[in-house]
Amino acid sequence: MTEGVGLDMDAAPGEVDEWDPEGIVPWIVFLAGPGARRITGEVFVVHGNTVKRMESWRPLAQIRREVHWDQESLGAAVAELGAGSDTMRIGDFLELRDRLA
Amino acid sequence: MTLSGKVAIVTGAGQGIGRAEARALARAGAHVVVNDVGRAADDPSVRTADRVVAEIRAEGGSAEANHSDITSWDGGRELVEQSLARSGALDILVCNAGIVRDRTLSKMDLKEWDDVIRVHLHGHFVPMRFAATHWRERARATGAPVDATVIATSSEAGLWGTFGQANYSAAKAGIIALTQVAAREFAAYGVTANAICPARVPR
Repeated sequence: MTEGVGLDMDAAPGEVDEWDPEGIVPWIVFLAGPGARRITGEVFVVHGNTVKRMESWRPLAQIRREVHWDQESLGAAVAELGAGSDTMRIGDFLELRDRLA
Repeated sequence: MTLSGKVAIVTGAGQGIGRAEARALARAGAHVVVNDVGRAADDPSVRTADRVVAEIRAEGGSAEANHSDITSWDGGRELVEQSLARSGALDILVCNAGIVRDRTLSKMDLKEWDDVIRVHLHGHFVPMRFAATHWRERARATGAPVDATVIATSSEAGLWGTFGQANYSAAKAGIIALTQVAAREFAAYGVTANAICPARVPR
């Protein structure tokens, strides 16, 4: 484990310890074994008894024009990209900005 | 046992997840090369890798220690060469070594950045590089695919970015890209490469 990560995250009594390395190692042994010979180039998030296969980067939306963009046309089209619509991130940003104000 | 006859290297295996990985691989039948530069917090005269080797042997498993600094070119080469010299093979490479030096970007200095990038990215790249050289030569010599695998250790910090962890998040994102390149290149020898992100769910 990365030194210092998770050291203050012990599970409360009766809860599953999501950082318990013993929850991760069965997946490591599987990946190292014959059952995983066709698995490659993948990213797995492993916590507790949960294994998630992650999807690689892919475009969510795109805008395109036959000629170079100008500021006016970009301003009109940018909504099609949905940029800034991630409410979690923009919410975090606004909260931190308000805290500094 | 699943991994009987296999030889595994686990870097950063002196404690935490690396230690658990090394012990689990040994329980599954692999001979494990336990790599760590660290010393025990409760007794600095004891090297953590030696302690894990003793634990594995006490459980009836097979292991040997390696204390090389795998962020250096020579250290990574020595680790792979030790595995090949004493065990005759290398079938499983688990790259796990890592550190954190958390600080917000406005306060982080270059040493904090460099240390984290070096341990994670050099620490993954160098052993992987020398293992790849061995696997390529083995595939060419035998004319057959090599049955070997790399397991890299990333983090959700490398997927989303984590507040106060610019260095760690960048390093972990780099490990994912490194692993994907390894998967593409190593396919020519039959070797697989995947990354795991140990994580926790919020309560």
